[in-house]
Amino acid sequence: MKIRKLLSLLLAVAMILSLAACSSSGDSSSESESTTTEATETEETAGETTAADTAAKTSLVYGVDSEPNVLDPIEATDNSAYTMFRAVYETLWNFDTDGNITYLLATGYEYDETETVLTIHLREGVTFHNGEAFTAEDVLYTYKIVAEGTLHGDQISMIDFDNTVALDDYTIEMHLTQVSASLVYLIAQPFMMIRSEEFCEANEDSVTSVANGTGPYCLEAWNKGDSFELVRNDNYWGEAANYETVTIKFISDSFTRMLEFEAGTLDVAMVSTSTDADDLLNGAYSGASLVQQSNGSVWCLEVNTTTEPWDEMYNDINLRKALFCSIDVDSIVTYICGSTCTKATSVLPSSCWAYVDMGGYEYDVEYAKECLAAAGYEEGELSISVIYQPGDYVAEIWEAIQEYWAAIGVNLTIEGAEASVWGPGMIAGDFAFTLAAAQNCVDPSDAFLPRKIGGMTPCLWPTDELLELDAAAESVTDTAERQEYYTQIQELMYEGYWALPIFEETSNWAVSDSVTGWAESCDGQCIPNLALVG
Amino acid sequence: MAKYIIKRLLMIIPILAGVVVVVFTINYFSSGSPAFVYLGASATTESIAELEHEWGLDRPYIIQLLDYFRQIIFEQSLGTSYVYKVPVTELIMEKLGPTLVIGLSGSLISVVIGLILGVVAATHQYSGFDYGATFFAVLLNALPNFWVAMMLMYLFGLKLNLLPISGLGSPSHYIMPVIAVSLSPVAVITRMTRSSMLEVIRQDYIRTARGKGISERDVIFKHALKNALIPVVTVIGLIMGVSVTGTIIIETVFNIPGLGLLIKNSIASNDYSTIQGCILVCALIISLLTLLTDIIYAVIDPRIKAQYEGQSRKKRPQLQKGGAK
Repeated sequence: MKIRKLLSLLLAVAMILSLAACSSSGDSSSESESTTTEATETEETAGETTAADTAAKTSLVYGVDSEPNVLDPIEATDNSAYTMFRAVYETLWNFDTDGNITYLLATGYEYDETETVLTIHLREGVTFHNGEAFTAEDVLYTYKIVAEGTLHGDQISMIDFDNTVALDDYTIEMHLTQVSASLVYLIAQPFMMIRSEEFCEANEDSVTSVANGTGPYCLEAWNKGDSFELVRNDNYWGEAANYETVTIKFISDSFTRMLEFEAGTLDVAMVSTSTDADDLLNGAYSGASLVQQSNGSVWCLEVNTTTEPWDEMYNDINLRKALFCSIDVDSIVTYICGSTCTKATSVLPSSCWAYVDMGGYEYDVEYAKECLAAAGYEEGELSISVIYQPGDYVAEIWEAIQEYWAAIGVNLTIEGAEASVWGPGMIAGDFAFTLAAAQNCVDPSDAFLPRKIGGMTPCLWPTDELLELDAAAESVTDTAERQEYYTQIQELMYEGYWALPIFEETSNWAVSDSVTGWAESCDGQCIPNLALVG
Repeated sequence: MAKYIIKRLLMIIPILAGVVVVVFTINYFSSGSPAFVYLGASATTESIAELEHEWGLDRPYIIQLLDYFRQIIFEQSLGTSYVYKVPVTELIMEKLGPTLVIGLSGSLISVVIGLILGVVAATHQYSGFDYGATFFAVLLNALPNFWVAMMLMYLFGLKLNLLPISGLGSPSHYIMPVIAVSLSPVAVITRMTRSSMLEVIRQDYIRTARGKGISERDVIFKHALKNALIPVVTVIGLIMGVSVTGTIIIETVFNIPGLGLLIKNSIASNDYSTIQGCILVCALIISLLTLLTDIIYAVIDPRIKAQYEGQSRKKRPQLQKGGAK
């Protein structure tokens, strides 16, 4: 009798739970606090967009792997934030995947004969989302903020702000301290997105949590921890975006994100594992496909030949040949990196206009042993220690290299460390080897810029000749001339065995068949333009 | 009793101070530069040093520690997040709500179900129900809660489409995370209650109660259970603390913007001030839950209540005893 009562009670509880669940199943909306430029509260029904809405092309739901820490494009370091920034803010121009320029807030530019004065012509009739007119003063204000900041100030140090002026509301005369070929590409970077001077001055305390741009979408709400809500900017100067609303959901766990995509609550989802990419390629998700785009990132095994005690040891080309030719790069890319990466054949990514296919080094264990002997090392004599940083595939690649080098009698000890431990050590030249990436390279200068300002991997400039070639490429603005210099750099690096290119990353998305134009909307940095997606 | 509670509340202060010192010291002496994590690929030795100076990270240990205490005591501030650029207090208050809801709800459910199952298993020892409850208790304890979470999402979210897969919003968003959090504690509480009840129901006073003609229900719930609850309450207190402060994995899997996810992201980005603030809050929560456990002891067992009251009387002058002197 008592057991019957207990069972009845449990059954009643189960029924109540089921009723509660059925009343709002499949709902993924958020009731978190939101931050907006207009201080609107988020209601429980806000953000309830589903794939069903996509059929009428009214809304798009896009799942990304992280939430930005701040809404300021200058301070943001998170690639996932750039999709929202590209929709809400604009740069003066941008580059597509073929390296062609697309003018946005500018209509053109020209250099004077010295190539140290850049005159930029701005677009008239553009307004910020709060109605303020866009003028040259906003550009100067934004660039000065960037120059004064810790994150990107060094990158635009060639701009002489003392002499740079706004000739009128729509013309800027930008003076440079030196000829800089990379400036045109830097202007297209997300951290150079234009902000309203008047708005930022009036909202100084909250500038990292509000967004007021000129882009095709307005930021309606930032539901912290959940999503961005974007609405179409009906006062946009250009062609109106296809979708009325876009929701960018932050889902850090890849399993959860793909589950949401499979359930239909996401129209597009970032794919971050090769397993998910393979599943999409094999048709495991009906009504969806994998869209891949080279994101301009190439990972190389780099050897430190510039700081003690490595400079003497690794300046022997025979030793570098031995170490590089004993690594089977094809197998690493196939079995470790999987379908989200491709084999790299140069220190520049294949999507970069200056890329030259160097072919890669042949995997030859016997040749590697001969080179090792020529370098004066008998089997087992050479021991190397490496500390590596966290990252996709990094640990697995080092473990594979450990096996490959063991086959030629080189003892490699590897140890993982946090980025905050590894990074300063790398910058100080404490390590002999590193797996490092040049990321999001639209221009070849992007690949080498961090090294030029003395940042990551100073080992990339092992010879004065390479350093001079890079400086020469930076000092001319003619593309053909620059191509020659960068070709020489790639050839010298290849022939000198200064770095072993391993893999190029791709950005991968699971895209529902109802969404078109995703790949075509990506810019040169592989950031999708939500306004072009239909 | 009130004096005892006040005394215990005051004791939390040195406990939290100790936590601050330990966490701060570990953060200070652990290798790694949050400035590098913030600056990323464009970092140089000079820019790292400049940013560390800006953040005050180049000051001596004792200066930084005293400054942190000063901030807490005089400004009621836990510092500013290096990454999010907002006060840590504000960050934590934003994220604490969902974590408390999931942790406390999960604990409550695990307590109710665990007690019921444990009592029934003990009173029907060696029955099919007893073996079944024991089996499921072991099974639930063995299954990792993140795996359970993923299976719940797959089954109820995707295949049956009964519940939302992730995020927060309506009450239905909380169902799966709460279930995932409560399963393992159900197993522990069931086993603990069962063994404690078995010990109590064999006591002489229970036989006496039955001999007096008291109904079996009253024997079990009024006499046996109350005495069996003391060790169970201890376990419940610990479980509640773990459920509330240990939700990192559940929040990651279910994409819930709670305290656990904040701690995880802060550790990844070496956001020292946020890490310290979060751990301080977790220590406070556990201290308060421990106090709650002690109060529940007093409610259940009058002897313990008398003991607490006796402790608070200890300092009264001897004159009052006996009244003669």
